[in-house]
Amino acid sequence: MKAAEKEGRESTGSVWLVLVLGLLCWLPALLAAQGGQAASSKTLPPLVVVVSQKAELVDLSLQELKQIFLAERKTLNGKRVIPLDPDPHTPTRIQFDRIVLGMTPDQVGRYWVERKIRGQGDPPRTISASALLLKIVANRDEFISYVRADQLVPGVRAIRVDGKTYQDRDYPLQGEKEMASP
Amino acid sequence: MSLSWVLFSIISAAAGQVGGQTPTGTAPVDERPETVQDLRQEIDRQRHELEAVQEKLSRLEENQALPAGELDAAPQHFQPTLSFYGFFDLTLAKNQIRQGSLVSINQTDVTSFTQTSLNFYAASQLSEQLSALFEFRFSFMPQGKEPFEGTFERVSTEFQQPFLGSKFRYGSLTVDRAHMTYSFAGWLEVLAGRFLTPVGIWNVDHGSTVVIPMRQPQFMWNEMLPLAQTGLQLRGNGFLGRQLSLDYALTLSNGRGPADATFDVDENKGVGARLRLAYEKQPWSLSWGGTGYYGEISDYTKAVAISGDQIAIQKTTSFDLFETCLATDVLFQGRGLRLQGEFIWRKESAVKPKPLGVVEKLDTLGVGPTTTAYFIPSQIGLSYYVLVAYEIPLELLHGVRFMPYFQYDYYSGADLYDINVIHTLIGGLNVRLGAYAVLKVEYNRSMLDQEFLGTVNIYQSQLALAF
Repeated sequence: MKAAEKEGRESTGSVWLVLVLGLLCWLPALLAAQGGQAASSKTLPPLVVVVSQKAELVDLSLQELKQIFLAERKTLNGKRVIPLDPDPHTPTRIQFDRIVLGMTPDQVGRYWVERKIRGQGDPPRTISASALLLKIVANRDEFISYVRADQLVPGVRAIRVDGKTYQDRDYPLQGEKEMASP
Repeated sequence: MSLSWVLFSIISAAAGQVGGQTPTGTAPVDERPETVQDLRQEIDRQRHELEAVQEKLSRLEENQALPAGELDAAPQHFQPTLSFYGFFDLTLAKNQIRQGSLVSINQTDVTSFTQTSLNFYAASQLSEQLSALFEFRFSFMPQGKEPFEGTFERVSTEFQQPFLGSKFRYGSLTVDRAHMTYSFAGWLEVLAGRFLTPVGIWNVDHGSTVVIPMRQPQFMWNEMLPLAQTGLQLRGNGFLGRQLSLDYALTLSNGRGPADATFDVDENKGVGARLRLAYEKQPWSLSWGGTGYYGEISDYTKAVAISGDQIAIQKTTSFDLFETCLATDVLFQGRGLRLQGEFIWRKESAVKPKPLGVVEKLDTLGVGPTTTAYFIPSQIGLSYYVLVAYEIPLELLHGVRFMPYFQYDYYSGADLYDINVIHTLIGGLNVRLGAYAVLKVEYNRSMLDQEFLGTVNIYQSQLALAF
């Protein structure tokens, strides 16, 4: 009887040992798998503010950019400037509104509703397709807009923001991480 | 038995190590040289194919015209636009008026639903420089208005169709503004038409979805200066550095009078000027503005006088006074906090005093003094308000945000009996339901100095919507 009890206790202990050892050995596999998911998330390219290749504008501050896209400023250095926005629900637009305007999409909507009630004018035109947006910006000196750095095409160029190019480390419109779908 | 478990654990451990080395769980790659070479060749082949496709796509994009719909939407060449929008609200209000207070003459104390705003805009951008803006206010009044001129009479606009028999009650339409704007540059625009006087914060905001409290400040209610004018306005803004901006406005108009939207009754035009300085350093902003206005308010009567074969039109001035208004406004905001205040000083200098007709009627009730006629003397009025509001940094589902607010309002529009001194305390909560709608709940306590007026408590809630 005692021998059987002893064997039973040893068996239970072995089960626990197996379970713990097994868990410890599988843990690296689990961690590696998690690390594999994090490694697959990509960083979006930085936002670049674009004008026509023919335009004279080379540099803008974040404050001036905000004033232009909130329709508080219509000219820059004596020249007319016309902002164009991409679609409101894109990551590009949401990031730009958050960093430059300091607003969420709801706050942006509210801002423009209030301006219209005051009789202070309309928001910038929205162009949904980025290819079309860039074509339009390339066409006239007055237009200004923003896209991802990997969307640059001939005919437009990126300007500096706060004196920084989009390749600079402390460029204010750096891209954000986009998590890969599982 | 124990040995089996140990063997099992060893096998398990070994499997775990293998699993850790291949996180995607795929089978190990065959690394024989021949297979690697094949794979490299396949990758090269696919890369060449991809480059060829990309080149073809670029040529197609260059040569292909954009779809017509996309071209129309593209603002490459300016296209005139016309847009319609507006705002309206529904208010539920209860006035608590002291028994016997003369406030009951033109204020109801019955809990009521009412629509105070039903504004409709038409805005047209005719060219890059030229635009037009119209704002109409619809109202169910004058139906139900209860003017009191000594005897009670309620206005009825009801009429009956002669054939169909159905009844209608007509309301009214006012033109709040109708003007064109030509923009020479950001620092110079010209407005011509009927425009809102560029003064302060409230008169510019004016829409129920924009303003925070539900009721206008007393200085606007009592029109201490003209809230709208017909004439010309020059305005513009400029930047003094990246964070400092300066706005200005100059106005020339018919001023105020019995028909100032249509014609002027005297040769003196109303002139006004405004300057506003705004400083912004994220997340804070501060603006300070000052406004001045000077104009003449007069009226006349006409009569035909016949003397023999001579006919003459006799024009008699009813009253004539000059008004000078000075106003200042401050707005400080950031991180959800909003501090706002406006101050108005008004001087009325009577050349020929305005008769106070209401007092004559009150005489018949034995309320006022027993002399027959009274005139409003030259006077100075003062009014100001201070508003504190804070948007709580908590956004619930679908962008719902909360903003409690408090306001103190002082008004002293001196007149013959000095009855118009009013202290108003307001406390309320705005609930933002996204960008287009706001729900307001407010308590308003107006303390009028005179005994026969007393204190009025107002409990009200409002749903305002922009469309």
